Amino acid sequence: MKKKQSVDSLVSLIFRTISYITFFSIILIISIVIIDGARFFKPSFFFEYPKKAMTQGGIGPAILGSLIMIALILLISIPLGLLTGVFLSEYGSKSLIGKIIDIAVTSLSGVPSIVYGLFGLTLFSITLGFGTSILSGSLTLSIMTLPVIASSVREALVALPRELRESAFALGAKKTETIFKILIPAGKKRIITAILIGSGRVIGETAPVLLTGAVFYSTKLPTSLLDPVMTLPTHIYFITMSYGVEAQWMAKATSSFLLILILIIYLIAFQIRKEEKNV
Amino acid sequence: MNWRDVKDGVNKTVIFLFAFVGILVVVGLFVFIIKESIPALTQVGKEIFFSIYWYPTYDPPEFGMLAMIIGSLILTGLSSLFVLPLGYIISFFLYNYANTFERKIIKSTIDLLSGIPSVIIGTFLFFYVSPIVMKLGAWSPGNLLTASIGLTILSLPYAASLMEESLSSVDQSLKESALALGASKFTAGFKIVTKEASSGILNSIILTVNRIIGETIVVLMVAGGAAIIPKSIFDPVRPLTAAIASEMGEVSVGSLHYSALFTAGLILLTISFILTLISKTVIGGKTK
Amino acid sequence: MFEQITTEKTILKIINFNGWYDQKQILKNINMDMFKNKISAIIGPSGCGKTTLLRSINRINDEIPDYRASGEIIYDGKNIYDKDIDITMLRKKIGMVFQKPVPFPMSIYENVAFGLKIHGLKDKRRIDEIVRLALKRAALWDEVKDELNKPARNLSGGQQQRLCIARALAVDPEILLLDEPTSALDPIATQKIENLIEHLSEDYSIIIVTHNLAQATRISDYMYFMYQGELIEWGPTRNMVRNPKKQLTEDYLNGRIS
Repeated sequence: MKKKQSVDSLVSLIFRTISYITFFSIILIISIVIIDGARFFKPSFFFEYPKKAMTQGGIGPAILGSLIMIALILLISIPLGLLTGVFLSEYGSKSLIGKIIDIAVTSLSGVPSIVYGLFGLTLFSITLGFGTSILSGSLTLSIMTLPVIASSVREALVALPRELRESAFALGAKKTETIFKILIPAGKKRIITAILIGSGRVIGETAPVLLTGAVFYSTKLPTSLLDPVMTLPTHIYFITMSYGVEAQWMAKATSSFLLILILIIYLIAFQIRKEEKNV
Repeated sequence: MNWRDVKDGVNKTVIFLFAFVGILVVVGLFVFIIKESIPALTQVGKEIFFSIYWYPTYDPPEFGMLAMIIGSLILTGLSSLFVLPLGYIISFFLYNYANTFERKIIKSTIDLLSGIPSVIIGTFLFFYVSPIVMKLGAWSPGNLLTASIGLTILSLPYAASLMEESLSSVDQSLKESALALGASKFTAGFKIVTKEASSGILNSIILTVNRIIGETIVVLMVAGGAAIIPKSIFDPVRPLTAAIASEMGEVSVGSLHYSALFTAGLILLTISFILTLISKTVIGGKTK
Repeated sequence: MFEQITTEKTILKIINFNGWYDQKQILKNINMDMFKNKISAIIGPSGCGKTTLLRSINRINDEIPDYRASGEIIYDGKNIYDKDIDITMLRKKIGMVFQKPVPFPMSIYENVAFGLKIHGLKDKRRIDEIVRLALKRAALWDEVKDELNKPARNLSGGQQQRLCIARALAVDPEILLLDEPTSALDPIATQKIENLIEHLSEDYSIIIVTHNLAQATRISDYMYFMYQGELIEWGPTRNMVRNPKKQLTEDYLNGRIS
């Protein structure tokens, strides 16, 4: 009797310790990034241009760039992802074409981000002639976000009880009426959570933007979709890799801001998810 | 046929067309990347895969990617060595020993970790971890060890939550039958439940490895810049992803160098595709 | 096999009906008549095909990709499996309530109005009127009349099920199909719904599938006993209970098979 219990106590202790260490390490990392950067926060930081080789000024244009990109990306990837998820859930489960689209979407989520960058570079920047621009960057990142949203939407819809659909059909509703009037509203919370988490991911994406959309440093704000843009993650990357010690403060501060932004998005998503569970 | 039927039909077609974009993207990825790789593949040929000499800017240029391929493999291998057991331990702990409070907090924190962008992890390593590693004996600020640490941090959420899901999805009664026979929780969890969930765990491993191989920014920032085969953990390493990202800014479009980088991309695309297909066949693979 | 009191009007006639899920035959050569303004209970042990039969009557089984059917179900002078039948209209005339109460993610009012709106009714006053009537018929009006705009999911299980009934009634069906309508409810809610069903049969023809023998004997006028895909016996409830003609029927009624 005792031997079995002591095996469990021992393993439990070791595994628990390791898990706790991991947990605290994560908290430590997040804290360091946020705190060591936040001490540089002041209003000028958020609104000004970077100056004097990143040793002064702010990240205004990068914030703007990220916001514009996110807006565009959501505009493109939400309809695409939503309808793809709808298709996979409501039309695709048994047919051949459904299975193919399913495999396609799954494979897309495993493709390395730099490969998407190459694709975006050759398709949008070069072949379609959009150049290094907001448009190229957003289109590329939208394609990256598509599988994330599609599979979450599909999961959300598949989880709805069969009788919900059938009650609508039994009243004489057509299939797409049911999808748009009943099913999507019913899965609303999960879908919104999925979109939030997808946004959180894409706002921090660097590699594809390096190849398709971003510049080191721009002197003016983008005026059209064909202009290049600074985004928060690419800005962090450039500063860290190319500038000296005096510029480090900006990298830290930007990281801190970006991380705070993402954490807020995630916390909202978690909150919505929790609300849904309590219904 | 009436108006409602027409609307239903139109809606259905629209849904299908949008969904079809997914297939178009996959096809497009392969078509465009293969297209740009062809010059390098035809003109440089075998040298790409068998030579370790990568000197694309010399005259005459050399395009041997073997060192980078091996670099990718070693980096992935080392990181997997760290993260897979760690992920398993954490998922096992959450499944078997953690109380509700611990479960909730630790799971949420790990989910939160998955949201941290790789560029922030890279910056964190660069500023805070790299100096420590250098004190330990590294001669280059970018090296295998630092990069593996970064990759471990980045891929831990994948490993831990996928494995935890696999364990949890096993029928409770299986674990309880084992316990009812007098087995310890460890035996029940390890010998019975893990075995039952083995295809799910295998799937988690495949997907985590896929994530690691495809990571670009962390390795770009802290793996070092030399395209050599690392002999110690303190050596720098340049995996394929980093090579593409760092050199793409300097090549002229259409040059052989440009095409060689696309070939590197093709290798990555193919590997990730194969891994995903394996995952889908191993189980009805779930992905994040 | 059956006795029919000749003053009763047939509302549904099922002729040589078979059903398959993929290769497995679920319904074997079913022949039966059902009558207007009566409560017809389809009973039998689990797996006997009673739910499949019910779901064939409003063709909701069409949504299941592997389902095939042969034979005829005659309603309103036509075989509902004919190619030129408008399913939407069919489902307006034959409504269905499911075992699990599934309110739509909208207000109580919107739930009941849903069927009306998709069939094209736009006149708000008409809709208000019908919603009120349907909720009254479903014995729910008094409990919700001041809260019509609140979300339907705030209602209790029994109330939600009555809401589903009101929702089905709003489109003015002739026949109401009930698939184990009380098996997910507590005894008090069950009682309320049973009373409601008896009341409803004055205006509608009710076909109910239930595994609860006591419930069937309590409320039904006619019983249809199925076993392993076949219709064994059917007839007026009191006759079947007192004087079952087949041994199998008697065994089931006395709890020897389940």
